[in-house]
Amino acid sequence: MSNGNTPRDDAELENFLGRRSPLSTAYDAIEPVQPPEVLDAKILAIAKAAASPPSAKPAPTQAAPAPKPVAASGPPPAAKARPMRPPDPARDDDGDDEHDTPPARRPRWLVPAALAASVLVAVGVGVAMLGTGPADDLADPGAAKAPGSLFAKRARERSEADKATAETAAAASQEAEVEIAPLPPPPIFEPEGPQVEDLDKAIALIRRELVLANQRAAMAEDAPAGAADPRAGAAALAAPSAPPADAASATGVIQPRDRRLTKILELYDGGNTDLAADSLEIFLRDFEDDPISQRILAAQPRATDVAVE
Amino acid sequence: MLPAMAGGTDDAQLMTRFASGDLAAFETLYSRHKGALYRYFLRQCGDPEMAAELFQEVWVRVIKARERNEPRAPFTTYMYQIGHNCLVDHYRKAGRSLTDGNGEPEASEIPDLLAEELDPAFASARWSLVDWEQGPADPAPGPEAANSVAQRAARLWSALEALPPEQREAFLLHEEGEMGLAEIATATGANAETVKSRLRYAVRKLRAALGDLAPAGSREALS
Repeated sequence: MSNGNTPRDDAELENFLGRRSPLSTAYDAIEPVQPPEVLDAKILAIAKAAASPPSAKPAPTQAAPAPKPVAASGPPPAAKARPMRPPDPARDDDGDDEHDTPPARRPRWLVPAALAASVLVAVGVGVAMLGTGPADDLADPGAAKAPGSLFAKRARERSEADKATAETAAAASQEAEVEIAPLPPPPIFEPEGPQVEDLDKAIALIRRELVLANQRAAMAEDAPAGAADPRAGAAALAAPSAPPADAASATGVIQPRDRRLTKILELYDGGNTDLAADSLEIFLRDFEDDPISQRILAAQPRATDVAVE
Repeated sequence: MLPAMAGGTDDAQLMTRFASGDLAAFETLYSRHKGALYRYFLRQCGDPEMAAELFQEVWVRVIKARERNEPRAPFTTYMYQIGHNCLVDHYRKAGRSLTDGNGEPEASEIPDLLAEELDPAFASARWSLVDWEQGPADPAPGPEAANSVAQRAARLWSALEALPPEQREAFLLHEEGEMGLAEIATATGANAETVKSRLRYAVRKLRAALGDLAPAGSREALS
């Protein structure tokens, strides 16, 4: 049973499929209605929301042809009017994208590498700190030969400290040698005052002088009054050099010179030889020009002569 | 209406880029196909609101399926296949069938189809689905405006809405989607011969509707 198709129908269909039919021309004349703009915005918003989160799934497996410029295929006005993204002022322009990349997007191999580096640094520091105990570890010549290493630095510091200690010890030993060396002979000082080396001889001289003095005083008293007073005759005999005017004063008042000489005799006779010697020395300084002082000092040996001897 | 079918490769590339997060690629793709798809729905169901709803449904499905899209067929075929399914669902919800059977006219129906072809008013009364906003064109325009392009478009509009849905769909897929027989068959899930038969009947009816309004050159071609 035929379907009623005629060669005319087939020709019309061929013209229609070839877009040579007047039907296509008439259809093109119909107003090309477009969807409302509200609908466009709604669908684009849906697409934008769907495209915002980055898709973790890979692109379709089929090999895609080479990308064709979008501009050549007629991009929509919205796409053309899309503003360019302004450059981020905070972004570093040195081209080092690795540092600008967030940590979560950095290559995974950086994580174990960083951990390994930190472990090596920690081990090195720990070994250096433990190395303060045995000195042999730091004295490793191999470590000292490695310039820039922590071991070499520690070895250099230790050698410098040892050198400073050795220098200090050497200086101390030199000072000890200086103290042990023989001292120069002490200087010989001259005595400031007359010194009595032979106290007995000096006492004898003093005793004689006092006897003579008493005789001269007695002789002086006997001369105006006869020989009634022997002390006057003795005083005259004891002081031949004394002026006659002083004889009266000498008889009436005890002279300090005589009193001090009497005191020295009393000390010596009482057994206080030290005090007698000190008192004699004081007398010699105070009455340096007295004839008894001259005779005592003349009878004493000189210190220089003793030292030389 | 579309620039060229050769844009299928570009469409696949745009779809791949969009699957990678390139929104501009989707904007290009959408701008390229939005008019044809919208007109497909509007002239198929005649309801602007329903057309907008179906139109949005197609694009939402395209967006959701961007990552598992494998361009084994041109994007146009893929997109209109989704559109066809949406339209079938729409008719099913409305208690109707897009194909009114299997879409393949039986031999016994041919006389009726021929009768409809001879009587456009009858066809319009039978196949009119909705009231178009501007209404059908005057079936008997005056002689002074008979050859005008606008009048021919109005006549074609009236005859198009009088076509059976499956024939009208095949016609629209060819005109709007610039698809061939094989692609239309893929999009609608029919075999190529069925699509060819639908197109043959659609062309016959539309030519009959235009009648003597066809241009001289076209008339010679049709005769």
